[in-house]
Amino acid sequence: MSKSKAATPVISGENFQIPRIAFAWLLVSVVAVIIVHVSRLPIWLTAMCALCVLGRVLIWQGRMSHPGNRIKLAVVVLMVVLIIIQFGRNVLSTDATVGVLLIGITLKLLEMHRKRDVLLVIYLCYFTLVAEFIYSQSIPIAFYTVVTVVIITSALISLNQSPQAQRPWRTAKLAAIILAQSVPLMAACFLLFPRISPLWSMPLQSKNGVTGLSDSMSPGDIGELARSAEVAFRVKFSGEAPDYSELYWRALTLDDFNGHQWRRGLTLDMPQFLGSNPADTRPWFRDMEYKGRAVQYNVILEPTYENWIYTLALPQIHDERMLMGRDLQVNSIRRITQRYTYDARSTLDYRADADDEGLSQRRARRLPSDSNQRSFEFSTQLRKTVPSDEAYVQAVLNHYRTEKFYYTLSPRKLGNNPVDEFLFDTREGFCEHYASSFTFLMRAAGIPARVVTGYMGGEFNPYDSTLTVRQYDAHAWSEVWIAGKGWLRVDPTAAVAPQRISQGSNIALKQEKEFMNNEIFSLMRYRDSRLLNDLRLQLEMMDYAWNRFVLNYNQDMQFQLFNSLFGAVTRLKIVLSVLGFMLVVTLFVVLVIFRKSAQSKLPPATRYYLDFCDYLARLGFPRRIGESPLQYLERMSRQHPQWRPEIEPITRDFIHLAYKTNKPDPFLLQSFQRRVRRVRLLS
Amino acid sequence: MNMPMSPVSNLQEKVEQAVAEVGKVVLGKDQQIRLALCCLFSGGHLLMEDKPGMGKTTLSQALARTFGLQYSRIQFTSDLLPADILGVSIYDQNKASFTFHKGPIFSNLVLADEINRTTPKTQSALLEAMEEGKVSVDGNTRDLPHPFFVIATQNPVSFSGTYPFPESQLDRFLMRLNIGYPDPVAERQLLLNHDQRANLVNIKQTLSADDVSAVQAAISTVQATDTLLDYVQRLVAYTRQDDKYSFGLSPRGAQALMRCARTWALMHNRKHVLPEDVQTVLPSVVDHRLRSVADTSGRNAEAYSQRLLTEVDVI
Repeated sequence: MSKSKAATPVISGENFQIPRIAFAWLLVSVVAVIIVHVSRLPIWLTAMCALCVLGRVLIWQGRMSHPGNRIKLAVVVLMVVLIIIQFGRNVLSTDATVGVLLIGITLKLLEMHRKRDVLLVIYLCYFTLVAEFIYSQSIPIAFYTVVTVVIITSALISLNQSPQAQRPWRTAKLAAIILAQSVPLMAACFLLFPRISPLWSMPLQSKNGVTGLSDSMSPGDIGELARSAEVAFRVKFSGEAPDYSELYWRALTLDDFNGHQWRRGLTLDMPQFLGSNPADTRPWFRDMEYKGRAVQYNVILEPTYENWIYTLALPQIHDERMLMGRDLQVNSIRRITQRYTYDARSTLDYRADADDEGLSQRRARRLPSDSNQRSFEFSTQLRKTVPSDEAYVQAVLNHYRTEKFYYTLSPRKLGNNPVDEFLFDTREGFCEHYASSFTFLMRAAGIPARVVTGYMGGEFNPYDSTLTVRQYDAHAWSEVWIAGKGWLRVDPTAAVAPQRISQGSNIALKQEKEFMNNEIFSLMRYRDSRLLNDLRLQLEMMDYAWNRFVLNYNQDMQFQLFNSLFGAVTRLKIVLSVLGFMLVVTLFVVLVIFRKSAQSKLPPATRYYLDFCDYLARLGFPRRIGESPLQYLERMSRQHPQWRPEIEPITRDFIHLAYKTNKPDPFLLQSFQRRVRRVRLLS
Repeated sequence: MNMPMSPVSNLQEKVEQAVAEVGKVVLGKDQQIRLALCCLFSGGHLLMEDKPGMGKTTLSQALARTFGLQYSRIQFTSDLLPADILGVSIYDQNKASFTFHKGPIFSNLVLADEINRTTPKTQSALLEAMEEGKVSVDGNTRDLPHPFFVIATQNPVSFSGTYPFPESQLDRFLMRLNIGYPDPVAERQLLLNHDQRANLVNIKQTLSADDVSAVQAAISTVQATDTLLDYVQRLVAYTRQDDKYSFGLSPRGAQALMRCARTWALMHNRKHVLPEDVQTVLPSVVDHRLRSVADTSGRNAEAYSQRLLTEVDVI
């Protein structure tokens, strides 16, 4: 940068003067785009954006001049440094990119000298706005995006309108009409365009802020989830749904205990691939017995950034994307970073791993021997009083039932011997306390047992009979292995708080202060009001349909659609239909262009006047062939003198527009159009 | 617009004065007078065709007077020779050379009465002079005075001893006017007065040759928009396409139409042409240039243009 250049201020006379209304639209657009991203932005970045917008307003008011080149350079360098510091290694993540885009847009505001600068800002606004869909595709966000696109388009339109001719609402209306015209094409593209899985993956910045189960369980973990009413997944049963108390959505099988925390131990058993034609079927998988009635359901899982999925035991799934472990945990091969849907079939009665005692049973007896001594003693003594393992299970459950155990979200903190302290001192806990201590007592008595975490229950929406499972439905229970019967589910929480199992945590925890603590503004808190609850359920129904049919419209659904439309899908048919679609679109565009050019042979004033003539013709007074506007006016005035005040200005304007000059004044033309549109003659 | 003193800016008032003056002798024919003025302002020649005694000659004379132009009148007869119109070279014995004696055509305004009574040879001498604005006699070309108008009259009824114009020659006349019978009021007035023609001497000059030049200079500035030209082209196309006409309007005819329409607009103090202007001048400009398929003689000129006005839409 040369010194002389830096010293000369920007000559304001040469600046492109952005029309006032276009400027207003532009500012609204920029602010709307910032707002949608604001919750994920660092505060300093938001503040910087706000400062830039404010600065632009001051420049526009003339209270500030455009910043000089040195200042601009300094600000840009500062921003780059700040962004690198803020995002560090994640500087290529979507968050950082969005931040850079927003800073870019708002800084560009400060140096809008030419029309092309404004255009650049507008195009960036479109781009940055749509980036929101990487994070969320919910109905409100989609709605917000549509509104904002209308606003940005209005800015684009009003930038190209003459400043005198524009009215903000008409501009917005025009933008909405233009966008509405694109809806059929959008729908067709949505339905027909080949669904290719993304060629790249977006480096989202980790799973920060995602609530959900973790791969381990220690006391208090699940209680933490009960603060949140976020949706974990949604289920639609085809056919009759099972009893509420059977809705154990299992996810993780935790068989390794270190005295404090449960984890999934390493296993030597290879998981079973659940896709079609598995290369080999594991023996344990082959031996599983599915008994009783099967339940068929479809699950739409919110992104968890983990691998496991939720099923009712025992699932029979055919899905290329999944593996099932010997411990019955079903995992997706890829991490679930997007909404994930799968179909499953479960038989609630089953026999798994029942026959021979192997490594997994032996692992399910292991306990750290250096802690929780009191519990060891308790179990040894209790085991002596009962004849069998099964009787021992009942005895332990009985113990929970008869002793004063409390089911609470906010138990006292536990120390180094959590099982001891819970069983004999505090006696208050949430499901993980019960599952953990119960499993411990089983293992202490030599019975193979493990902890299973997942969700229990959910909420049935009467409007579309879907089941919504939320974070507060998170649950932990136990499985014990009985020789000959295999792994059996035992839920010690049921012994303490039967309401939790029969009616869900929603009812069981209603009185708890901590429950849904995070959902202050959510409609979930107002379930007691019938009206609001109904409203909420209906919104959720819409949300389900949105998830099911819009967001989950994938290659499979597309194939199904093609199937139902054209029969069996073949490559040829796909190619033909895509080509046909493109042909139709092209023809349509060509047709529109031809029609436009045919129509535009008539100058606009003449078109409007002919509209007016049509209007009079509908009233029964058509203009005669060869009748000039003035003659028509005179004839109409003779027949309907009361119409003259309406017809005369239109005729006068038309003569002015059509016969006085070939380049009519756009303002007059517009007012003429308005006049013609608004004319109402009473007979 | 940037010439506020232009003589055409208040042409309407002058025209109305002239119409009033001429109207003193030609009663109740204001529109015909205006059309005749329009023709002369446009720099064209006027053919008046009507039955005898309808006031053709009176109108011509009155027009000549109101322009204050030097005019001569030629009564065409079957034995009239070109030299009788153009002039003749006579040997001057004193100078021992031929001297050209100008004929009556060397006037600003020539009234050619009953032009179809003379032979084609004489007719064509006149028509050539109208076309060229010059006269060639004995190998010398002489310019006619400027402005130069011919107002010709002809009688459509009498067939014997007439030489009707072919279409190509009719085309030389910018307009053909039919005067028509007077309305009852004018007729009563005519009957009351003894000799209307005596008033000819009382006609004041209200227009001048300068006005004519000014109007002709201003014609090109009159705006005819696309919308209007579309209409004119539709009119022209109709005459060419419709099989009721044995031939359509020539480009010269179309030009003549626009020229008259522009003048008509100027005569109403307008700087742009309206469809009404075209419609008003249309019959006079177009009728003698068209011929119906059913009409082989080319005499029933009426109502050709009426079809145009009612079957071609303005917009």
